[in-house]
Amino acid sequence: MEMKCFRDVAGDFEEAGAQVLGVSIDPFPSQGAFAKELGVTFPLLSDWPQFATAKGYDVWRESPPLAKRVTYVIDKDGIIRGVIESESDMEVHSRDALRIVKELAQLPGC
Amino acid sequence: MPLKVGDIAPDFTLMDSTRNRVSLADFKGEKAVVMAFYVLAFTPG
Repeated sequence: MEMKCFRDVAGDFEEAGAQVLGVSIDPFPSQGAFAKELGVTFPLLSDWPQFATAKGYDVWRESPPLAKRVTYVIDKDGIIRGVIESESDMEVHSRDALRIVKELAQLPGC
Repeated sequence: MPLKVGDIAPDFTLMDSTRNRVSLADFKGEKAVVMAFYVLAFTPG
């Protein structure tokens, strides 16, 4: 559901000069099937089987083992500019992320 | 607690569904990156 929201506004992220990456702990075969079923144009990345990225970004949940629903907005210098956490509101992730990348795009470069 | 605004994003290298490697470093200086962690694909994710 959350990925469907990102899919629907993928063009807006492109216009704002941002790259969307979906990350889950699913192994490749299910990721591929999911990407195909959804028709997403951005990469769906697999953090399976080591879950190092989910752990590094503090979204790892041990039991049951899965990643929490968190979206990070990272600027082109590698600094986190937005953290969106919601398990229940699926639309807030793409909506807030898009607002933040648009704000970033308007900042003068230095 | 998840990372906070202002923190340096940890680098990562992961594979996409066609087994291409994607790293945060690929986009450095080029593009902002939106990293969306989502729950298992075939749950209502």
